[in-house]
Amino acid sequence: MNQTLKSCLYIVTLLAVMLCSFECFAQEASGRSNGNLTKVRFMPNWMPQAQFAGYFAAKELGYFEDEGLDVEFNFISQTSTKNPIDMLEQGEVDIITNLFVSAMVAATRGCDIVNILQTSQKSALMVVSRDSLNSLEQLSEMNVGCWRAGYYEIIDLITLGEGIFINWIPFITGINLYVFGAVDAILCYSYSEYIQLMLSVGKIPEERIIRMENTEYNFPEDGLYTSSTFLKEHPEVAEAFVKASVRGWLWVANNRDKALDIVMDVLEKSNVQNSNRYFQGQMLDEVLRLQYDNQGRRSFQPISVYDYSKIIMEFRRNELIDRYIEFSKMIWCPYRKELAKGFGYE
Amino acid sequence: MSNPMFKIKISGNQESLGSRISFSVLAVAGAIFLAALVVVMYYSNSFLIEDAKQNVSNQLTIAASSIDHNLLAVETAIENNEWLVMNSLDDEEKLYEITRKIVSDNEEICGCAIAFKPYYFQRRYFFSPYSYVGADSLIYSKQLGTEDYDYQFMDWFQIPFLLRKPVWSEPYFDEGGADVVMATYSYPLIDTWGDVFAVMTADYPLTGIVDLVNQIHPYENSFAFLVSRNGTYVAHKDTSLIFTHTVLSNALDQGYNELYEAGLDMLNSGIGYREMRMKGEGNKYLSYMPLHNKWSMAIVNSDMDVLGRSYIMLFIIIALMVFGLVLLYIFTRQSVKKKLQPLVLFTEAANEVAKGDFKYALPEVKTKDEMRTLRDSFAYMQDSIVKYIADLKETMGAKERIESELRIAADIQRGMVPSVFPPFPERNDLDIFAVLSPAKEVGGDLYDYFIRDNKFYFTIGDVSGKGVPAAIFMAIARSAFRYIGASAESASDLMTKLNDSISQGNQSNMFITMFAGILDLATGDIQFCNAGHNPGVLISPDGKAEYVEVKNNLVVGVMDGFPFSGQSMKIERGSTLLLYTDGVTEAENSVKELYSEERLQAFCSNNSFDTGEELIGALVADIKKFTNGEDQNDDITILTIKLK
Amino acid sequence: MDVTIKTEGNKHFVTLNGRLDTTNIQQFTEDIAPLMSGEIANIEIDCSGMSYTSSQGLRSFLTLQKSAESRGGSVVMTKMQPNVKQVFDITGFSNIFKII
Repeated sequence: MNQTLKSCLYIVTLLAVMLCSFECFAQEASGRSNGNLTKVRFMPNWMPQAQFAGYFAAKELGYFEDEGLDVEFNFISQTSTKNPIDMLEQGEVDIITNLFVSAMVAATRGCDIVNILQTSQKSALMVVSRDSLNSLEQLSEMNVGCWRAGYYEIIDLITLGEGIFINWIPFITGINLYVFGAVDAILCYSYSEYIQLMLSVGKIPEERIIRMENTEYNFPEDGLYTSSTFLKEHPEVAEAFVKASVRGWLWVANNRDKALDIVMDVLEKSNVQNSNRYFQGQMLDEVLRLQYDNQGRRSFQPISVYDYSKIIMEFRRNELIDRYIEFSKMIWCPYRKELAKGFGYE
Repeated sequence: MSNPMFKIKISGNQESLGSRISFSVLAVAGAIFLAALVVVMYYSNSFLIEDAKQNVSNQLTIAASSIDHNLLAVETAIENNEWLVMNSLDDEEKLYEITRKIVSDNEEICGCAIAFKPYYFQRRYFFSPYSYVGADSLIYSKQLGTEDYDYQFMDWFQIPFLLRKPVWSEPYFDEGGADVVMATYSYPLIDTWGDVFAVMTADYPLTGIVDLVNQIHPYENSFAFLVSRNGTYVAHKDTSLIFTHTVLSNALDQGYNELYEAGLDMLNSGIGYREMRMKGEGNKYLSYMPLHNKWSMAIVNSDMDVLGRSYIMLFIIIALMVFGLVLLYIFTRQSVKKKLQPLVLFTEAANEVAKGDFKYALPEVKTKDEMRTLRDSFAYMQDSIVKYIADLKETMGAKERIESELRIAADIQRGMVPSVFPPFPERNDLDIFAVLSPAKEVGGDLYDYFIRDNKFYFTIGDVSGKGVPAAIFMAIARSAFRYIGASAESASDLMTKLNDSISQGNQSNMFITMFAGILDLATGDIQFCNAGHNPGVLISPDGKAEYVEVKNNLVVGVMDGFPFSGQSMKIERGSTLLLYTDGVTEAENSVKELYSEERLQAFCSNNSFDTGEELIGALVADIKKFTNGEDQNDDITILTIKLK
Repeated sequence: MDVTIKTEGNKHFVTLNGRLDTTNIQQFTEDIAPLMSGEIANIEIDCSGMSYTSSQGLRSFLTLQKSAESRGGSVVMTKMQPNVKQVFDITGFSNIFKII
């Protein structure tokens, strides 16, 4: 064969290979890309409701897109026993929302889960009783309704911490156990079941309520989580997601009515039929309130090392977990300073 | 008298009187009607609302018992099969059989299950035979409990399990079926130890009940709604509320406080009736009562519904009222106008009388009312005017007569007082000047003089009084002066005889103050006699002015036979004797100051004149300046006698 | 001119107040009319309040005097003010009237 032809062929092949690998590299580098946007599978830890308004807004207003993300929302169904943490672990989803304590306990059990954003700064958990309730101790020997799926950790902690026997009655969803008088008290979240309760039985006197927010069990709740693997591979995606989410939440805080429009829209598209705008509005107001820290600022700061240690030690002491997870393994927040300023979106 | 001072306008006034009266009547009548209307409407509306309340309550009761009847039928169907189940507790087939039977026997039941608590039935975790009517109307059976459907935590199982009582579930959409709204009746089966070991259920489609509720329309715009035990809307006119809102969330969302209160009561199985004031929508009325299964039903009707007809009636009444009032207005106005017709004629009559036709006939008034009185008064006024004018003419005539006679008297009197100056032009040793300015046309002052035997006889006098009587008296005195002076030997003799003459027969008690004198033109001796008169001023040639010292005697005309004492003096040539009446010294200015004797003397001292005419002229001017425009209240008379 | 008449026994006591001039001579004549007739002809006039009299006033007094004398009585005038007395003096009426 001709020497020149061979060289050309060689060069062409080399170029082709280079182009291909370049292509692959490009693809690799941007992850699973969809045009110019990176696809992210996101799973909020409940069905569509105002609790996730910030994320809905980030999607609707194109904040995710601005950060180069194409976010796919995967909602769990009402009766499903599937758990967002399981889904994350199984690689079915990339980013989830969940409660801090649940994530922490899962991590101590070997689950690969890392906190990348802490939206809720306070506990929304409450106990509502049919009689007056001054301390958790009074729950001894009472039938208390609790969720079947999830949040065992806190239930166990309360039981052990208070050193009392509580007859937990698991329910799947709703407040009918309480309304029908089948339980003496019921656990509920201030932004969902509590509001539902008030809309079914009227205002409940404060002396029949204990808010965990006011007790030693005031643990932060809602936040964003992902796996350490994902973080290693796509830290910029995680950061982009957080940035867009913060931007979304800040917008929601300042545009209540428009945010509610977006929420109701998502509900309709997801065929959630048994809610109304008034209820979602009440939920939104409470969720936004829970985002305030002790200084009254919407800071989105992760849990402090001190509080983290306190909680994990509490659980350890009650033998609810069998090992410690280091703070740095659990909490990922390289953008503290920008976060404090709301990434400039305040 | 021929030109009327003004002409009474006929147009406008009468109309407005009629209108004003009509408006007043209208206003009062309108107010009374309105007040009555308001009262009637208020009570009538109260009755209507009460009636409606009763009507609605009845309908509610009927509907509620119909629904309860249906619910009870389902309950009975289940409970009647309890014994059958209890006898078949270990027979799986039999249990399936029972569920099928219940579904096929009872049209209203479209699903039936017997759910056992975990591990009870043959130690199986789940055991729940279940039969249901499929989309093809065939009956199917299956196991209800699966991994995905752990029924022990479903409300329909757990609640009766915990409560140990039968319970109707909250309504739900049947996912398998065609979006039918359903509710499930759960009946717990209790063992000998008192524990619940299984729950029998019946699925009941609520379409029948929902339709029944939706058909309740006691009034055109009224409707009924149904809420479940936890307040969720099951049936409502506004279908967007169903399953999405509870009665409380709806009330809070819309801001209807009364609805919220009613809702709380409904959730507590209350019976009630409430009025709801909705912003901008009028009043609504809510009647509610509970159902057998602790759900609640209510009927809402509005003001317009209940009172609609009443408002129509109100509208009609108001229209009639307005029409009636308009008629009333027109009638009143016409009536008033007619009654006031005589006024027009009176006005015309008044205009004619004003023009001078005093005999103008007044309109007849037949009625015995205020118009009649007015007419009579008018007629009387007319007569009075006629009479008054006649009197006035007479008086004017008389006055004119008197005035003309007075003018004649004045002329005569003026002729009696010497007015030609100088009176003795052929003599050059006597300068005489005088002025008499009466206060009225005829006065009571006099002066006179004549020369006899080279003696100058002179007099000046002031009659007590003014006008014609004083003038007559003055004429008598002047005549007497001339007549007696012609033969009198001395001034006192002259005065005495003059007094006798005047006093005799003097009934009027008038008197004269007088000063008379006889100047010997050769020697300068003056004999004089003063009868109560102002002393004169003697101005010596060197300009000194002194009052003459006089004896007062008595005024003339008062006492017959009074002896007058005379006096005498001698004057130098070049002296002037100035005589005057008290009109001079008693001339008043605006602040009631008198010209006074002092001022007169001062005037005479400070001024010197060549002739009596100049002196008098200046003195009169000075008096005028002093009085400064004030009316003269007495005759001013001045006589100067200068011996040259 | 205010005229007050008091009758005691067989004497009229008259009190005068004010001016007597053209403006009120008519009224004065009417006021003293009761004194011009009747049995009682003795009249005492207190003139302390009379500030002025005109010649017509003098005439009225003269008429009164003549009337009183014709009925056998007399007129006495008391406490006359100086300027009024002067008029009576000048006119010589002081000789006709009894003035004290």
